[in-house]
Amino acid sequence: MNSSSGRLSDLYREEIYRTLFDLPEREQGTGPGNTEIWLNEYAALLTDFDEALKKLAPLSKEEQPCKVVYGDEAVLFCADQSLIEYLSLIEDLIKQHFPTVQKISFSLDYDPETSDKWVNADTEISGDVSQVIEWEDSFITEWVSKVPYPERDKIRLLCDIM
Amino acid sequence: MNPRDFLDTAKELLEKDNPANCRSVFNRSYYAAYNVGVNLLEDAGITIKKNASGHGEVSKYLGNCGIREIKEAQSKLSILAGQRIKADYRLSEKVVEKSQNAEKALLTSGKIIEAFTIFSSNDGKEKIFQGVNAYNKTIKSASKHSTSK
Repeated sequence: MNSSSGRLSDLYREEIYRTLFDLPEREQGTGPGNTEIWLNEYAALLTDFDEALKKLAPLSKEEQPCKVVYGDEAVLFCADQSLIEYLSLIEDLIKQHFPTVQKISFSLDYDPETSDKWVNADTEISGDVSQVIEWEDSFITEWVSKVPYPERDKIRLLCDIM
Repeated sequence: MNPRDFLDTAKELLEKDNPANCRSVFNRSYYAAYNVGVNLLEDAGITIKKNASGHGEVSKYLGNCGIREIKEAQSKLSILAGQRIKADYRLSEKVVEKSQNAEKALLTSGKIIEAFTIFSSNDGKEKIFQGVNAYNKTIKSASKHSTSK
């Protein structure tokens, strides 16, 4: 949990305990067993609230989920060339090998000199150059081991270091 | 000339950080690695066409030579080729105008060349020749099989 949600959670926790112990009518005429039930209910409430806060609180750049954009032409090309399985594989491998990936955009590209076509996986990554090269090396090793030629040449990772 | 000299040109270009120079770094980095790849294949006894289709041939042979290190270098070369197309033709693409991306292309080209150089010994070239030969035979056999059907 990040610090802002932690502060909010603490405030909420305080409020709950104040409510619990400042309500004499709840305490009067009830046995100790009821207080225990209330405490358990409040504990469950606190847990739920913590979970809700985690979802609502703004995340740091590193914590934000990677945004993935599929261009229509890229998807059609992959479907036509039987590459769909590799499209999802490359997405998984990018997320796995580049821990700071922020966005992946799949788009169709072609070579004006030869008319060859392929899909670019334009990938926004934060980090320094040598770190990104290291990540790319491990990505390539797995990509080449899992995808045959020429399929692996038809979807290409392009890193954009932010 | 030695295609590795293109890397020196790329380094000089990178010293002055501007969009045109960064784009040119991608171009020189690709051609340095591509031409070292062409030389490696030709020295191994494999003929590469001297026109635009040569790029595809280099990819195809290196990508199917059966040597893991060369296949990985080829995959990086294809990535560099895609970036080179962006740098040379897609003038609205800002990604190839950033110095950190250009620097990465230059360093990657150096690594590709390093991998090719390891296999430039007689033993390495023989392995590449055998690998490409085996690939060509498989293709011919598959082609005959599909024609006879």
